Formats: sequence, C-alpha cells, structure tokens
Amino acid sequence: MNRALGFTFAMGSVLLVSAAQLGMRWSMTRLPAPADWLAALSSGQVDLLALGVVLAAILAYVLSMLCWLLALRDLPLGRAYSLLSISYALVYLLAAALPLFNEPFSLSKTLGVALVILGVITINSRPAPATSPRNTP
Amino acid sequence: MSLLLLLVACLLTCLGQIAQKFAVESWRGQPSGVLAKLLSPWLWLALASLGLGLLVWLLVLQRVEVGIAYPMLSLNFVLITLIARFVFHETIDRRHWLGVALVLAGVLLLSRHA
Repeated sequence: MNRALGFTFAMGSVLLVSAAQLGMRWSMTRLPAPADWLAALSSGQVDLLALGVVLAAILAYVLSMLCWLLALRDLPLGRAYSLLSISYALVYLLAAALPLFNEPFSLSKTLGVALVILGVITINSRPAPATSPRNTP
Repeated sequence: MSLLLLLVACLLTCLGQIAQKFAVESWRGQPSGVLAKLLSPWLWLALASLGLGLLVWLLVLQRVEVGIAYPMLSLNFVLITLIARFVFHETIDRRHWLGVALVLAGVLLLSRHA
C-alpha cells in the first residue's frame, strides 16, 4: 500500500476529469446540434477549434479513468470516491467563476451541489474494518 | 428532453459499470490469456455502453450548464445502490441510504435549473 501515491493519482484524476468536463461544455456549445450535423459537414462550417477541444477533452477523460484505476490500487474505494466528489465542486465553481462559461452562481444551485457532495461522502464514509481481507496475503 | 438525455447517459454509465463487474468476474477463476480476456462479451458491452454514454453526455452538455449537469451524474450512486439492493440482493446499511437521500435531494434541486 502506498497511500501518498494513491492520493496523487486520485487528485490527478480529479483535475483531469474536471478539465475534461469544462472542455466538453465549452466545445459542445460551439458545435452544431445533431439535427444540423449533415448540413454543417456539407457546408464545411465546423468550428475546428471546438472540434479539437472536444477531442482533447475526451482524451483527458480517458486519462482520468486510467489515473482512477491506478489510484484504486492504493486507496480504498470509499476514500477514492469521496475524493472524486471534489470534482463536482471544482467544476461548479470554475464554470461559475470563469466568464468563458457564463453560468452564474445561485443559492439553490450551490445548495444542490453541496447536498450531492455531502451524500457521496456519506455513502462512501462507512467505518472501514481494521483489517481488510483483500490486503492480507 | 435534457433531463431524459441525462437519465439515458446515467443508465448507460451504470450498465457499463455492471458489465465491467461481470467481465472481471468472468476472468476470475480461469487462468486464460489476454486474448481470451479480450473476447469476453461483457468487456465489449462495457466499452460499448461507456462509449455510447459519453456521446449522449456530450449532447447533454450542449443543452445544460456543466456546473449543473456534472454534479447530477452522481445519480449513478443512487442507481448503483438500487441495483445492488434489488438485483444483487446486497445489504445496504442505514448510513448508505441517508447518503442516497442526500444525493437525490441535491439532484432534484439541480434538475430545476436543467
């Protein structure tokens, strides 16, 4: 068990998935809706920057899943999920704070995100047994 | 429509996670090689549902603010708990149900903005 390494990979996963979500939102609002895909393709009017960002975001998402699997080698599942809930707060705060996104703060949104995080931590914080059978040789 | 898409994305992610579970369980107990593992239909179901889930998710983000939609993905914890309880007959303790209720309350509050 190497808790520090597991923690580092979990935080890496949190940062990557947060960046991926923000990147996907930014690019998808600049790309046409599915009903207009054919028209956009035939007229060649596709925002190439947005297309690049969505592909980069998908790559970041896949990398975050790899980091997640590496984190799970060293961290208990409950601890790892509790850490992942940080990304809910991070995405909400960044989307509200960055003018790029135009997603204003509101009391009920903040309360909703807080309840979700509290719930995820509650689900994943049951007292772990002193010795986990899977870690004994 | 946005909420329906979000629910479909959650269900696909859920299906992907359950298929992953079955893939890993089917590998256990048989000392097969990498090729045999890659041929597991559960693995392909898992990859297909995660991929399709990602596509639906992109369509959700075209319509809903990411600061709202992304925390609403925690609905997965609720779905997985219900499946663990009613399909796999696992015991769920009281603390876990309290967490599910908190997540559900948060998601319902957020859904009013979606």
